[in-house]
Amino acid sequence: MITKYFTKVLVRFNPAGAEAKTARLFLSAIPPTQRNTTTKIVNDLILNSEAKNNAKKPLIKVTFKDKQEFEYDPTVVNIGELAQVLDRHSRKLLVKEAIEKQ
Amino acid sequence: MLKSYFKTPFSLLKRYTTAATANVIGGSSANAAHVTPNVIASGSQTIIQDAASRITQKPITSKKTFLLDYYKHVMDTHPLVLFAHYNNLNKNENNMIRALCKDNSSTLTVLRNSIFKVYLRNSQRTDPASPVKAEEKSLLIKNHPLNQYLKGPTCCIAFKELNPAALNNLFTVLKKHQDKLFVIGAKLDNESLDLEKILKIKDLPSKNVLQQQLLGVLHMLSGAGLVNTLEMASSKNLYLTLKSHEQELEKEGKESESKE
Repeated sequence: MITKYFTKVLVRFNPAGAEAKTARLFLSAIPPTQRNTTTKIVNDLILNSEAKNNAKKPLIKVTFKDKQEFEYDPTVVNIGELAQVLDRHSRKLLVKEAIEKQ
Repeated sequence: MLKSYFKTPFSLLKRYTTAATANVIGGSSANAAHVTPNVIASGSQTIIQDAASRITQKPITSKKTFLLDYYKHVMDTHPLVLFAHYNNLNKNENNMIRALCKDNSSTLTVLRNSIFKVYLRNSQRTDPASPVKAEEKSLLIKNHPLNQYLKGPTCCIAFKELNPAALNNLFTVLKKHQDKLFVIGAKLDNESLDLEKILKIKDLPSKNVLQQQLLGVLHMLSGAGLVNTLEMASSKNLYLTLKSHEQELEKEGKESESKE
């Protein structure tokens, strides 16, 4: 997964829920050096009682360098699908950057 | 860092290897099980009843067997084990968080999920590394409640004793580093706890304070009557009862000696 164009990441999930796998793998895909410099990561854990009341819903929200936002429900998508969709936008930015450099 | 992290178990592994190389008999048996004589695991609480002929599924000196034994040691000897999401940390962050755990009388271990799952499945058996016999199949746990916390990079923070103050301290500092490491579940004695319950436990006073509070309540309710009764039982009556019992035992002993 190309992560270098992420500026802001919000991951909201219940660690005991079905969405935990996607959410946690997504979090760990972001390199530590990037976390300390360009990308701001916020994780918000949903407690079991909140999950029962539907008070908070699981969410992965990514803001790109060009301020475009993507929102996904980690219960529905797996990490492969998520990476595919996000990479599509990242590659656009990659090409754009390459053209600007020339 | 790695050496101090695996301090106890490495010495344990060393013992395995030396024992294995000193007395090589036969090698492996037919069904891929490995027999190693004279293995003593006194370093941990690993229960190996018949140490002279320990049979393991994987070779006795392999890392898999070692990790299984180590996970058993961690889970058996620590009443409170927290499970946390261990985001890939750089060296400084890693050192900082390990030092933090050490300050709060706990140790951090990064888990190999697949092997930890094997341990969880076999946790009811005396030696989780041994091949499963037909009669032991009922002891296997299919869906261990802790399995749900092993869906990604996981570490465990093991406490030698339940001290809510240390737990609270650890939580307040970890809150600042939320994106690096955060607690998702725990094991307390033989129970799996979710985040909500851990948050409740960390706000409890320590065991001593709770005992004092209970004593205070008993004192208040009974106007010192109950406390006095309990004290009587413990100091005078119990002593007298035991003393008479002892005398009787002595009498019986003398009678049996005279008969002989």
